[in-house]
Amino acid sequence: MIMENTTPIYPKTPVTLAEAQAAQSQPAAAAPVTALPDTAPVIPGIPPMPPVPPKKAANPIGNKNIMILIIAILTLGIFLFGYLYLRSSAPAPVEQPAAITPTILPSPTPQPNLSRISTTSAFISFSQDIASFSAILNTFALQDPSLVPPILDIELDLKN
Amino acid sequence: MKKLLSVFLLVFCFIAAPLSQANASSQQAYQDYQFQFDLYRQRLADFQIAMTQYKQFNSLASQQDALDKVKLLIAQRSSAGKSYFLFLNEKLTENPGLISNELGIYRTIITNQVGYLDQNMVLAPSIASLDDASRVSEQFVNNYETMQSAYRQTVAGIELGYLNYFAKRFNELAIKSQALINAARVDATPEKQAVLDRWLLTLSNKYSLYQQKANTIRSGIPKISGDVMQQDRLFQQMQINFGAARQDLVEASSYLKELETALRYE
Repeated sequence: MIMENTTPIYPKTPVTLAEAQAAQSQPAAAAPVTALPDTAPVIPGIPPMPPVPPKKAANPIGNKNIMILIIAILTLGIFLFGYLYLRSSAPAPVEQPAAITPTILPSPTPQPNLSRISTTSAFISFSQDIASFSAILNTFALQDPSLVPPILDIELDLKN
Repeated sequence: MKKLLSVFLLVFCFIAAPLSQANASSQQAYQDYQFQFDLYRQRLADFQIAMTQYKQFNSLASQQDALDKVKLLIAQRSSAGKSYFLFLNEKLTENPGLISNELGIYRTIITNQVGYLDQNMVLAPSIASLDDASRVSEQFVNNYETMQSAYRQTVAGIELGYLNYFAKRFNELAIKSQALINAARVDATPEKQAVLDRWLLTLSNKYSLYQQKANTIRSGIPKISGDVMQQDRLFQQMQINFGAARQDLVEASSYLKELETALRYE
């Protein structure tokens, strides 16, 4: 495989006057052109071309991408606006009134005075009799379930 | 000495046995009644089986078996009815509110019915044929409504006796309260006296209401008669009157408590 010599061949730099004059008379060797010549070569019979305006630098983002960006910004703005609008129109939370803790204000019950007769033995026995009478009467069952009369069969089928 | 002791023991047994029988508690009488009734149900079932077999086979053996079973059934039926009257008699003895007049009436009813059932029981062993059994059973059937009426009247009388007892105790308390009110009038203000008089009047009115209901019940007890369904209807109606009379006594006792509170404080 033959490897091409990729090393650029640069023209030899003239050292002496004779070499310089010789270089002038020789056409320039093929050297890498790094910059455009300032002036176009003059060719007899052909009018010089008007200078080409320098090309504008290419947009690195791209028109399409700009549109997408604008649409995204607009959408985001619409969402943000809608959120802020809804938040502003939502009813304000009702503040619960503070719980009222009732305070117990004991009112003194007037204590009635006992009568003279309440300490007598007759009244005390009267009270006890009433209590026992009420207790017995309230719990007494008048209808006794054991007093239900018996049902006796009277029809004896004795006929053949 | 030995002869005297033996005579004493003999006399004691003759006297103590009927006394102990008469003093048998109502609980023991109720257990006897339950036993007799269970035995009656068992003999009824045995008779029904024997009679079914006789009708099916129509043999002499099945006929004799049916005859034996019906004799036992007729005797046991009267015995169950009698045991229930004896139980009612014990309940009459224990009742604290029956006056002697009313107690005598119900005891007479029971005595008559027990005598009739005893006669029916005595006839049972002499039954010789199914026709005889039919005639003896017919005597029981003829008396059945009277027997059921006696049951219900006695039960109503026992309930009225308990109401009389509570009314009597209430009356005693009302008399005591009146005495206390008279003693408290000396120190009581006119307003207090008016309060006490009002309670006394309320008590008196409530007791009058109770007495009216009790008189209605008392006059309605002898009217429990007729066929068994009518007796049940009249008896149930009487239970409503009993409940109303008892309620009057309960309210009157609550008025007594109010009166006691009014007397306790100035």
